[in-house]
Amino acid sequence: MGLSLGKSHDPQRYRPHFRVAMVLVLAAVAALVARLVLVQVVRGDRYQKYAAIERVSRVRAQAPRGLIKTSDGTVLARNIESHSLEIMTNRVKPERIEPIAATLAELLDMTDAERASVINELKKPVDPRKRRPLTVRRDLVSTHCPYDSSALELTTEQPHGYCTTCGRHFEAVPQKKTCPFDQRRLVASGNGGWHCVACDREFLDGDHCAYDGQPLRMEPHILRCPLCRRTFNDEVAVLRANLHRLPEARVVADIQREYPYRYLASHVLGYMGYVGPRDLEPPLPFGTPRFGMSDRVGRSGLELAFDEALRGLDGEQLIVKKPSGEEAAHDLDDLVAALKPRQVVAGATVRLTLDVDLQRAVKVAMKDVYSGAAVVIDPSTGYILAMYAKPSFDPNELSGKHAPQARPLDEISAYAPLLNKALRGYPPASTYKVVAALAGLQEGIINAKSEYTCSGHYDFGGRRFHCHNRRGHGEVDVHDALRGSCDVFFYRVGEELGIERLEEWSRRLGFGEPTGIEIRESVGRVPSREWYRQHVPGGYFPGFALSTAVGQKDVLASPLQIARVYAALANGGQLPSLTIVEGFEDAAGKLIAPNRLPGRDIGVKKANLQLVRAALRAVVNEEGGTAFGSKPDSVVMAGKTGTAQAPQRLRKEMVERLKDDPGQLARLTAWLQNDHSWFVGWAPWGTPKVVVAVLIEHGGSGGHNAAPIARQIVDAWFAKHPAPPDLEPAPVREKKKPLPVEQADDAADEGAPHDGNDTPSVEPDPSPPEPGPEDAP
Amino acid sequence: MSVFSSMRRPSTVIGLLCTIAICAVAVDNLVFTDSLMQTTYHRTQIIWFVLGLVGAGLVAAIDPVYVRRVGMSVYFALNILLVLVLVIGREINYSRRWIELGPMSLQPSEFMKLSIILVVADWFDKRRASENWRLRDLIRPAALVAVPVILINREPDLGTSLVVAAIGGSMILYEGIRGRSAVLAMIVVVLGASVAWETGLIRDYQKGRAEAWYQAIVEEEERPRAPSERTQAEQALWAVGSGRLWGKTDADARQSVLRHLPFVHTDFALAPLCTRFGLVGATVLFLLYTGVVGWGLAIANRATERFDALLAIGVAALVFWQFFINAGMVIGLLPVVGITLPLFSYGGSSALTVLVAVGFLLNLSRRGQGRR
Repeated sequence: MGLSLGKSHDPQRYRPHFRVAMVLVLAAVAALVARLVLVQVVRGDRYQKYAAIERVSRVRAQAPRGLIKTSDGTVLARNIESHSLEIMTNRVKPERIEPIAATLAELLDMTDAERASVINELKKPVDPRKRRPLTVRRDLVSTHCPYDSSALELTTEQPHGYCTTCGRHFEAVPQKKTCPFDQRRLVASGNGGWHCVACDREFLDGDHCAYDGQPLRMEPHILRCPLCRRTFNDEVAVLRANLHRLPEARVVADIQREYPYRYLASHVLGYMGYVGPRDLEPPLPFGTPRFGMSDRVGRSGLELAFDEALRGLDGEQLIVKKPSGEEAAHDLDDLVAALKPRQVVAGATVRLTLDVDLQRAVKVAMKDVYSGAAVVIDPSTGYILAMYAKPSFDPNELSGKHAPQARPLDEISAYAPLLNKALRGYPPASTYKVVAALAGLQEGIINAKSEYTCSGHYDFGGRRFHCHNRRGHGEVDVHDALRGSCDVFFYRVGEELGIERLEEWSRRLGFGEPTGIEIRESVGRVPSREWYRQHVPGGYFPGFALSTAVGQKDVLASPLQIARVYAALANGGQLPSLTIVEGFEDAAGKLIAPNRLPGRDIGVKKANLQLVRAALRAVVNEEGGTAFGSKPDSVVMAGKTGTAQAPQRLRKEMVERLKDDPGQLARLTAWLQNDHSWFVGWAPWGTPKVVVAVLIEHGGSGGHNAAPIARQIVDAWFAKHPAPPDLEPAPVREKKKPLPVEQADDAADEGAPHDGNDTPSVEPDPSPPEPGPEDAP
Repeated sequence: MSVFSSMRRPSTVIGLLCTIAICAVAVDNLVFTDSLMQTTYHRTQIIWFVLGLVGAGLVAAIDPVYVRRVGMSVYFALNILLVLVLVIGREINYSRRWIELGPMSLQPSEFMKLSIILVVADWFDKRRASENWRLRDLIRPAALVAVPVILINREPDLGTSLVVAAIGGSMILYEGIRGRSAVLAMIVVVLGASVAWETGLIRDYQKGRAEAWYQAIVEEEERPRAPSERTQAEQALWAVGSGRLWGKTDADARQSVLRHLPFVHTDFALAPLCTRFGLVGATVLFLLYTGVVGWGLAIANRATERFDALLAIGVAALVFWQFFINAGMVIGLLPVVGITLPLFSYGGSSALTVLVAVGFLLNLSRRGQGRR
């Protein structure tokens, strides 16, 4: 029997199967060969060319960041090229260290100490894996003055001496002993040299330092700053021309953000910082890197808010290399076209509504303020014309290539310079009384004639609520109450309104909501029964409504929010949506205005609004008004002062820091006990053009301290802009009531020390407030 | 009846010569790719070829009856190994295919290719049938094929599982199937494929390859991309295309994309050959494979026993499908699947498997010789 276990079969049965299989196999091979012909012969040319490209690399081409301008074309943030000198430490051989330092000292103005430190750095052992270059000098002088960023001019060679020991610069003594820069007569320094009193420059005939007698290095300077008139050498050009002597060194160019106005609008503009791990979240799909390693991103203000628009879109540059390694782009045009490198889209230029002159005037007006903020807005458009917070900072310092970390700067000062105080919530104090007034009038709790008697305090719920005027305002109606900022009147109104209606009207007037500004802001706080239940142990107590009605305790609003509310009062009831950005400029410089949210009506009867407006006019213009002393010269201003109780304790870190300076510690501690002072107003009264809000942190009385600043700002504005005729005549009041005698001298003294008009310090009944019905089990 | 007596038949001589020629070209190709990558794969591969040829000689000499007897046991053992591989296998490139045996690593799925041939041939041979098979009769051989296919696919190794399925399928089809059943089977296969596509049995990267291939075939104009974005398939295509009709000198070939082509010694081993020897060289290699496959088919056609015929068909299918899918993939006719070119790509288990399979063919041709 056969070797196989299977039964024999009929081979004929397989015959057709075999044929089919054979045909299929041959067809498959034919298909393969046909495909080969297509690939190798028909398209072979193309593939051969593609294959010849060893490397096509795409290099990132960074988009230039957009500018920040004002509407009149003043540039507030721009890009400049900055150069730094680096030495690639891993390439430095030990015997080259001294020659390198010598060459550098020859090419740059370098003191002996600087030179020694370079040698010292180079002698340190290098970790071959890290390969961090040593930055010898940054911000090398090239085309712009390192002091004021003006473009440098070529000048005739100015003889210039440099002492490598002390680092002083000496100019040659001019013919007439007159400073060639200020045309001032020079003064003998007593050591053989001369100096100019105006510019502090030193002049010397001779080649040895007037101070330490060391030989000077003499070199001509060929660049001059037209603004500060200092002379310079083009360090970048000198270094580049001599790089062959320093094969280990390189001059690195970098684009840096620059803010020519420095402290002027730093909180609005913000600053830039290096990209960090958190900026990479959430990651983009396909692993595309969002940033390069040394990119900087906006860290605050507009730089942060419009970071993406300002940044633009990075593009690509193609580098095509042939197998031999040389770049070969010339015969590969079609390939480059096919690769479609991404085009660079430059960042958009942002045009602001800020007015630089006004901003400067605000800065000047705030010069004596330690800490605070001022905003100016246009009540008809909602444009923010000025926004300044104090203390300010120099964004250049923070955005510089080797910026110190932002956080320590914030901590070295009790005044929090990085904080934009115009957008931070503070107790609005008496500026909030317009809410209670309007709510009371609208809800029919009071009318123009309603009067309450102010005896200096008001007892409610077993507690005594004080008026800032301890002697009392006497009989006051709503006009008098706003003018003299009577607390007792508004305690009564607040009591009758209750927290719910106060909350409703606050929100209707724009408290507790974003103003619309593009920068991140605090929305403040409008306390409600619910809020008290969640945040205050013991829950809601009806007395809270009284404190709220006078803007103390738990209400919070930013100066910008307050300005917005008063803009609505100024323009007749339209709550505008605020903005600081007029629009974007496209590549051609054409303005693309963004869509604006329309303002909304606050829904107040004309008569009621007019009543409040007249009272606010009286605050500044009538005797007895809390800001009577701050009448602007140019126009009629209306407004409201505020003095917010905000005693604070010094932060622990500050106490720690100042423990060696008890005087400063005591000063700061006392300062923090002061009240915040507020003023918010508009001008002219009948045809409002500007709304000004001023907040001074711990500034004391609003009428004494904040109102004069507002007056100065208003005067500055109308010095430049024509004041429209005040179409509305001054309102006439039927009732003319003599003021209580004692009030006349106290009226403006709103911020006189008082224990607090809402602190239960003097209450005879210390029993806790009765629990609200919702707290009952 | 020595091995050499079978050499009198020209088809045997041609088949054997084709096989040895492929091995020679493969070694030459490996020498070239080794020079690209500074490796010494060709030495190892020569050892495998020698071992494989010895194995082929042994298989040719011993009676297949012994092989048949142990066929089923080996099949079960291999299935257990396939399960084991999933548990303790060595992971390379995100899949577990290898079992470590001291210094060597074995790929049980490779041997499953042989085993499935024996088992399926055996199954059909034990049953009489003079007419074509109905679908319900084929459930059992289909299950024999399906178990290892599913196991191998779990590794994941789509390529090998496809080859095993193709071998089994080819044998069943060759055995004959009723027209109606064939249509029904086709529908089942199409449905199964679409279900696999939708339910994630086909992995995303595999779908991506298939879609890329579809696009490349449908869209006439390929777009060159930066190296980091290029696909293997694209790069292989450029390498193949740059060979033109007669090929390039080695120096030129080395300079072009071959340096950047991944798996140039395994899955894409055909690409350097196409670059160096052009259309002519590649066509010659294809004809060598056609010779081996044709040899298998000729033996099947001649065989008197059903087992012999199916064994030959299985071996022919083993060589053909791997050759066709791999070559099609390299020259851009088929999507990228991880299947090696038999005897040509570097790999010990694969070389051993194919050479042992060739040993079966030798054995059969010898037997046919003696029988007639």
